[in-house]
Amino acid sequence: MKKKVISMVLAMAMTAGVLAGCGGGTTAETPATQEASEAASETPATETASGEQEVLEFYHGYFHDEATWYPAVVMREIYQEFADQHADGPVKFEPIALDGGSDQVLQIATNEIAGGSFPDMVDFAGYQVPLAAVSQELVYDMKGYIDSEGLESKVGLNYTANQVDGKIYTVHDQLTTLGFWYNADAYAAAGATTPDTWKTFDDMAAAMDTLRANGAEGAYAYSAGQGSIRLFNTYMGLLNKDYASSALTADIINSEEFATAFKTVAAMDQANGSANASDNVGDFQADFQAGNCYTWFNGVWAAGALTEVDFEAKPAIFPGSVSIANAGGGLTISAGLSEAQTALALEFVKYMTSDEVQSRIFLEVQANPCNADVDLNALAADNASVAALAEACALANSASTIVSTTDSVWGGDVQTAIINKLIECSVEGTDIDAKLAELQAELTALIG
Amino acid sequence: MNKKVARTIFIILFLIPSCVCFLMFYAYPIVQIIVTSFCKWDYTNLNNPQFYGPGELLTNYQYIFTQYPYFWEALKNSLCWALVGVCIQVPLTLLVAIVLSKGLKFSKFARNVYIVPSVISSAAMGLIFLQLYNARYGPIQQIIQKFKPEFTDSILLVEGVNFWAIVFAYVFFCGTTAIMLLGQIHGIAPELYEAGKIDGAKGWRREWYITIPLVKPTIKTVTTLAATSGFLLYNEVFFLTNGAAGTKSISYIIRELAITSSRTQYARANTIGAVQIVIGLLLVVVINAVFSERSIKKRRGE
Repeated sequence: MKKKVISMVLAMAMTAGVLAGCGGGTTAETPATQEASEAASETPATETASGEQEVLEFYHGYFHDEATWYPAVVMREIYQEFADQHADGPVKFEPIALDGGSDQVLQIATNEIAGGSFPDMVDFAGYQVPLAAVSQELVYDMKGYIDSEGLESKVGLNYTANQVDGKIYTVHDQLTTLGFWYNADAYAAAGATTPDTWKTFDDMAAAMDTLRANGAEGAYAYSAGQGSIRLFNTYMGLLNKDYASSALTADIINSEEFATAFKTVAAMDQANGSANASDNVGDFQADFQAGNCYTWFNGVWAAGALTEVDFEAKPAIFPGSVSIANAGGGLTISAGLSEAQTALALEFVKYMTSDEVQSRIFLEVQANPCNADVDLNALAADNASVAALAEACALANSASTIVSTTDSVWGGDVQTAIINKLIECSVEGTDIDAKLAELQAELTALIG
Repeated sequence: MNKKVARTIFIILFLIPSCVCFLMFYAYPIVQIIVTSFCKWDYTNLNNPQFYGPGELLTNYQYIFTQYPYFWEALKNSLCWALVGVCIQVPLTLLVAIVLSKGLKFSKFARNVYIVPSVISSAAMGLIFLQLYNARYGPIQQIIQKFKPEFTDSILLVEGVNFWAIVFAYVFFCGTTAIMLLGQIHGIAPELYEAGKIDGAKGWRREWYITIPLVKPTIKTVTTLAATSGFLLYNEVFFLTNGAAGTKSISYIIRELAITSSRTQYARANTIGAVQIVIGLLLVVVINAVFSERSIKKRRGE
């Protein structure tokens, strides 16, 4: 009998536990707390009804320690300084570094968007603001603030590149600027023409052939894969800039320009070999630094990693004077904040795009700042460590044609499809025409 | 309260937690996946899936079956990986379990060594194999080049070869299921082996006629696990090839549609999810049928 009683009590406890756990997240409100919460929702107070300071949470991906990636430490310092400046204000600014990096920031935002909300504020660090957030009006339009505060030049490329139907939902404090880096000593030793002389992609292909023919044993001409999508992207920009910067359509997919760009890059990749193709350019960094990869397609920000190599690493842009510059997604604010929170979030955008912070981003983070008023050459003149970065930024910023990244214009799934087809073409003997036909069919279906 | 009523209440109370958990965490998501596969649900209406009208009910299925370029490739691969799991992983697991059950010298050490990879995540395994297969410095490439020096391509990009490269990245790691079988083998009464010995069941006959029939229920479980893990393969594909060169899997394309696509195509992803559920259930049904007593007797001609 005793056992039975214990069993009954246990079963009831389990059931009660499950039912309690399944209960709604909201707690039963007493009339007093209900009144307080109603008051709080009616007036966008700077403090909660209980007198607590409001909090503005800011998610970012700069979690790395000094040994892993020093720029992350600098970015955290910049954020913390802003938090300290507003420590006594009505809203507490709370920067939160996610140890999954910007991928995790995107993941958290995507999850919240799926539930109909958006985090207080995030830094997408180059990832596009999800279309769902815009279509559901979950993110704040900053254009009015930028105009009224005269920040157009401070946000730089963001003002045009991130303007959608007259609204600006995101401001990226660093631009995604892409040319590439090459081993000038190896080019000279092999007798290859240098990128500054390339007028066409055929010139580049010829230089790669020379590098393969005359280069050192075991070394290779360039890093294909993720690099190849950049070649394709800039070649499309060279052939037809409108195609490279507008939404993907069946006309673009079946255009002569698309076919030419794909087949040219695919042929170059096949000559380069599938052993030197990867969908992550980071895989080639060690090889480039060791002098085994002669051409490395990475952004201007890679300058910091190339200061201690045993050869002259020079920046370059793509044949025909084309570069890739993209504002991308950056600081993005929820549309559901209180007035005080929104004011602080906007203040933070102003702070991050200020001349002072942008100079630090260039000098210490070694990235291309968005602020068009910052004189990079003047800053570099006093600081030899950023000379290569300044040169890379100047080259990319002054290119005859500047295109956006493929994923920002055509979407991540389209970019993956093109990269995969280019990588498949790098295998010896692959029929490039057949792969082009497959890709065209795939992309036509994907945009459907 | 009479005994019968008390007993019924008692049973119901014990069942409620499991039922609630099942309904919340299994039944509800499955129903939602199936229902939303008949809806328009993407970035334009993320909080408000719209049910297609009667005339357009199968819009998503039509798109997936006739237009989406990766569905048939992914389905074929996933089914092949499920089959490979059954044909390679199950016999291998059984063999390992039988060998370990012999209590040979160092068998405890061997058992522990065999289990260690099972505690490593498949994502980490994917990364490890990515290094092993690296076309420039990976040991596998170097071994291949010993026999075929002119081969310089990446095996992860050569269609057909890359399928097996992915298989080898997961198929040998079955420590957990081997332990399940080992436990069952240890549970077999020694008298049965003694009796078998008298009847001449020695060597492989002993395992064939005594061990395997007695652990058949566990073999069925192991087969189901091997088939479903092969059918649901994701991490290995993502890390090794990112779906290139004909290696997409069903799980991979679900993520492509739901996450990678900037249009957040939840409904289409759930349509593939619904197909995955149905095929997964079919796999379980087929395995159950194959292992049923009736079908075994039929095959034996009894």
